Amino acid sequence: MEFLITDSLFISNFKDLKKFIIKSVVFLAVLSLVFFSLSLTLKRKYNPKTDYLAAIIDKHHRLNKIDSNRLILIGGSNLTFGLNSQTIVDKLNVNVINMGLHAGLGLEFMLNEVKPFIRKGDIIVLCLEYTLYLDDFKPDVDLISFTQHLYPPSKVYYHFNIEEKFLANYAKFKKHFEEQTIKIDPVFNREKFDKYGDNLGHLGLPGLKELRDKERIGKLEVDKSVKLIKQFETECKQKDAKLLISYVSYPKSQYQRNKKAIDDLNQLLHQKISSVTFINKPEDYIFNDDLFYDTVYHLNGKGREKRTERFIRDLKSFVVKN
Amino acid sequence: MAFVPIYILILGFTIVIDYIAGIYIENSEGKRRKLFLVMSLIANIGVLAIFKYFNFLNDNFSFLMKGFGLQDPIPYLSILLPVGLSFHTFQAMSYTIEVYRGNQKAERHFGIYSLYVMFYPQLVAGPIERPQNLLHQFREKFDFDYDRVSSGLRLMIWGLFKKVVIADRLAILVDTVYNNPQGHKDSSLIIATVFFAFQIFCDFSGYSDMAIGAARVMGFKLMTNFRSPYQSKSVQEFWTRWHISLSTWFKDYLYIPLGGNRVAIPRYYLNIFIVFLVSGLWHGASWTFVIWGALHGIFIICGTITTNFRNKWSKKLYLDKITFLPTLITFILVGFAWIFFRADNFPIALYVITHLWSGFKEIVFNLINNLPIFEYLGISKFFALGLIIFLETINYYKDKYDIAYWFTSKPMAFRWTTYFVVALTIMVCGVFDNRQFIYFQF
Repeated sequence: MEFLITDSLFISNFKDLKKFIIKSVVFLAVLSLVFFSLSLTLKRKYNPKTDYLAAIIDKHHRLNKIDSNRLILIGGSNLTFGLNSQTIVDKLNVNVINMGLHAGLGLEFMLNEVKPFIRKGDIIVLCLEYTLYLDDFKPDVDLISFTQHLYPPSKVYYHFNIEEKFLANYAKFKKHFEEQTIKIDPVFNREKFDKYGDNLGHLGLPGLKELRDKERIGKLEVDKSVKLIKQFETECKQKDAKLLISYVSYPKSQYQRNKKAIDDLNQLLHQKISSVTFINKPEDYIFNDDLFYDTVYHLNGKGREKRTERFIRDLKSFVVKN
Repeated sequence: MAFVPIYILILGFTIVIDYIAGIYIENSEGKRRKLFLVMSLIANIGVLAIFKYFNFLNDNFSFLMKGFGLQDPIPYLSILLPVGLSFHTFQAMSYTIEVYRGNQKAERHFGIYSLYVMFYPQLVAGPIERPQNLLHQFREKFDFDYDRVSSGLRLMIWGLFKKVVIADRLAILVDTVYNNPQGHKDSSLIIATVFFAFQIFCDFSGYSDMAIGAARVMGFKLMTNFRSPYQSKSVQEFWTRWHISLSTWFKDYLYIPLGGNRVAIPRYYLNIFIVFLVSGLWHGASWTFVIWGALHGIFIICGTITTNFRNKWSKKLYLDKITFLPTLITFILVGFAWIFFRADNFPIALYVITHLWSGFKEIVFNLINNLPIFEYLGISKFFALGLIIFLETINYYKDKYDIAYWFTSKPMAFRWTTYFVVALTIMVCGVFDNRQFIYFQF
């Protein structure tokens, strides 16, 4: 005990430590107060006419309007920047509804936004970016909150937990002061979408030499996404719709980097969601890097045509059968 | 560059080797002493060679073998570069070298030696410490000291500000241009290069500040790693202010053993050149890094050769009256070399360099035609420029005065207002998108 009294850090500097703790608490309390009052009062700047994410409004409008012979595509921006829906319509004679917008919205949001609108006879194809299958994928709360702001009905598609709510508020607070990076590029613009939901803004533009969003597919835990897909499949069955899964286009260089993980993921998904038909294999959609536009999931004009051709080939038998 | 938990074994391997080597070196004499040092160095350099340089060397070898019709005669290793490998390897090497030189007693306590290599504030990006400065501190006992803790936290906040507000904001603009240089105006190439000079400074010195600050909070003193490098009046001076822990490492363990400046003049220049080539290679296994290092070597050699000539003519032409001129020229030279550091490959660097002149003409044209700078740059670049001016103003005063003392002597209201402004600026203007520290890859 004597040792504690004479030598202990806590006892010997108790006054200084107390002063430090009190000051830190006061500082953090005032800072939090300022932050929360600002985040509650500030409104984020947005322009529904041009904001990329506002394309969700048009996609839902089409989803509501078309009522038969529907081919609904669910996924992230790989669909927006990677398929020619007009060609699919011409070749397969179906009404394409391309719901792809942004992978950051997450699988839960994507499935929930289509679930209430599933109709008898629908063919629904999940074209998910690889990371969307993984349990450690975290949806981008900023994107979701912004999308919900632009299209309020989407508030029911994803519910934030406390941590995400804080992050979303913080993102809103931050974005109030800065311009939207998503708006800087004229390609990422609502006006660049066609009636099917494809973005045409990048066609003909030079792509990046170094593709963005390169990833290393790690930890192959897929329980959360499998559960979501199975629930969605049940909904499809109840409404007499057909659910299919298609792999997405991916650059050769990145495939080589992630080959084992992608092969293992494919195997795992086949084991865990055996009731859903996979219409192709990952290696069917591995394209040369020069067919990509800016990220590992966005194709340029040439790549888009190539993928569309393969997609039609893979889908044909299911559409005819239907 | 990656954090893979199993790679802790690499660190464990070098720790065990160097710990044992240190004791054996101390207990041996003559050739045996040298043998243990060499074994330790081989182990450390071997790890670096495998993880960092094997594929680079193999790449070059395969390229040469193509001429003989051979396709990839040696298979490539599918490995990732462990985070901060070059930093802790160099720190470990300095330990065995110092024990060998008799400047440091071998550490008998395995835990303390491991802590020396793995001390978390500086494990992944330095400062690269010397055993004489750090090891003994692990045996000291630190009481809570209000002033020391506050000063450490202030330094951490300043480092965080530099990283997330300045470096990462500049990175958005720099990456946009350097990822697609052909898609941008030539003047943008110059602006992006200047921005990169400050991005890398804020990124790296920001990390160092946070590391030094975090250590200070706990009572440890780490060495200074940056002293306003862009205020340097020559490239030689730049290297006494930039990444000081690495430049002194090379000075102590490579330049001086090579003979330093106590040799014939051609050999002295060769020594300088070798040191900078190795320094380039230390930064990355790529020819662009080697060229970057070589350029610095050439700048310093040319600077040394022409000292008398330059002094004479600058006096004759009254250029010595323009006090900022040497600083400006140094910045241009260092900035030019940064092109190779930032460019992903040689063709991109070449493209940027061959378009610098037309970019310069574009900027001059805009200035002559009085285009409003705000309109010309756009809000993002204008804001970034403001941040750079702010940073260099702080650095200017930091270089001349004891800014920490000045700040702490101000009334509490002033200090607290500053804390709030800085904290809110970080929250509002900080870029939080999981952007890594550039130097983590080395």
